[in-house]
Amino acid sequence: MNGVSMDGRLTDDMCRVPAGTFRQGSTRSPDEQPVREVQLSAYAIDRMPVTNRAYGEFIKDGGYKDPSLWTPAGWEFIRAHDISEPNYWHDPLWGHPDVPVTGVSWWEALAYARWCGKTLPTEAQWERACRGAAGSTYPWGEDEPDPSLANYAPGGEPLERRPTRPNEFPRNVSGFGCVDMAGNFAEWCLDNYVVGYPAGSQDLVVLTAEDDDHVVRGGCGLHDEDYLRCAARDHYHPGLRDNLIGFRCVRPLRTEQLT
Amino acid sequence: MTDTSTTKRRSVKPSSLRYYQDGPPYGLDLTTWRLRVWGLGIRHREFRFDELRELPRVRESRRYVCVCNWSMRQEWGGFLLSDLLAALAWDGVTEGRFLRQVSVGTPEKGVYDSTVPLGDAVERRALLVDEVDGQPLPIERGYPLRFFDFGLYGYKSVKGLGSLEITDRFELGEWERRAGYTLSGEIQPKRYRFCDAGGHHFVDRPGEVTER
Repeated sequence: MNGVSMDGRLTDDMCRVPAGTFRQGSTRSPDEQPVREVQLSAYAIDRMPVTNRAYGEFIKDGGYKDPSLWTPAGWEFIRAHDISEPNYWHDPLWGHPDVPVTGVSWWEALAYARWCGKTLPTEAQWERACRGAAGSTYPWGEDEPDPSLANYAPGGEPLERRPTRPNEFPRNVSGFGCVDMAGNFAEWCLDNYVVGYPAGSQDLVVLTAEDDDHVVRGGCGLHDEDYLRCAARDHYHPGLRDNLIGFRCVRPLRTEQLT
Repeated sequence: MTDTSTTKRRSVKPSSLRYYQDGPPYGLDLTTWRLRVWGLGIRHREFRFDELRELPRVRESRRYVCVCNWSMRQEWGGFLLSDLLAALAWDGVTEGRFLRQVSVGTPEKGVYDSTVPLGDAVERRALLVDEVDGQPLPIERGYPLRFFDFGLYGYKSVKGLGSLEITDRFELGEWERRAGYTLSGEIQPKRYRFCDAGGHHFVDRPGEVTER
């Protein structure tokens, strides 16, 4: 669950992303600019979004009852709204064990990540993992999206509004091996949203206030093809618990875990 | 706001345009339907549909935005919220006042409610709408009457209205309680799909989208 085996090696459920630079952003939207080179330290990122089955372990382990896993604002949020499980937990479709967990606020995603010794990806980490070493537009490369590639809403119209299993679209795999980054569920990132990218180029994370909107990446089954681009940005209030958003986690890599 | 053209690309409308959390209502009979308007600073009254049609009519081309990232400019027919309130001897107070809208709903799904700041709604020329593109509102779009504050995402404006209340409580509505959407519901700077104009456009400031 924490991505590290008993002997200290990275487990197969995480993908290695080596230290290096990548080209972040695009000219398609003002908030994806300026396009610039960004330097990132090595990290590992979950191969798949967190599923309901995995999230259930967090609930069983008392994740919603342990304030040490939550930020003070997150703890206050779940107490104020009497939250003890995801919003769609008992829905047979959205709560199916094999599909990504959804209906979780940013605070619930962060608490889960802390519980398993990880954190949420910065949007730079997310975008690099999606683009792969080749820096592609979509996780699968440069082909324009079509319904055989991902779960999204072509032209804004879902073909069928449902969650899909992370492996349902065999080509929806990034160059670093991450599965299901485009469509199905957008994914919470650590950063707050600001229009455009601030100055700086090394391991950037933008934190304004916990209550401000946070970035989500990757698009979802209700959003159109434009949101499937690795560079596309979206943002929501951290308390949003609709069936649009899930998440995956990251952890830093130690030198001996690089290979 | 004075553009009188009808909606382009009528066939390109997302299915969420027709999303109806609490309905749509069925068996709705205009001869028995009433809009109840009550609360602080106004005379209470129940309006028949034909009485509402006697208020000063407006037709305005305005853009609404869905929280799921698409948008459409259409021509709306109806009357101003401010004219409705004036007909009820409104005291004009907006400080600490809010407008709670409640739908007719259905026995199975209940009603949908949403509350918005009254002063902002009046200032933004919020409408009560009974026509779109020159036709009566379809049932899934909010027949017989829908509220619209165009500075807010669509979930803040109730379809199939049954009542309007002026209150001093700014409380969560159905969609905020259900899925955590924000109470303010103000349209945010973001890249939206403009279904009528085609393509995506970045909206760079919060509130009503008046360009294009």
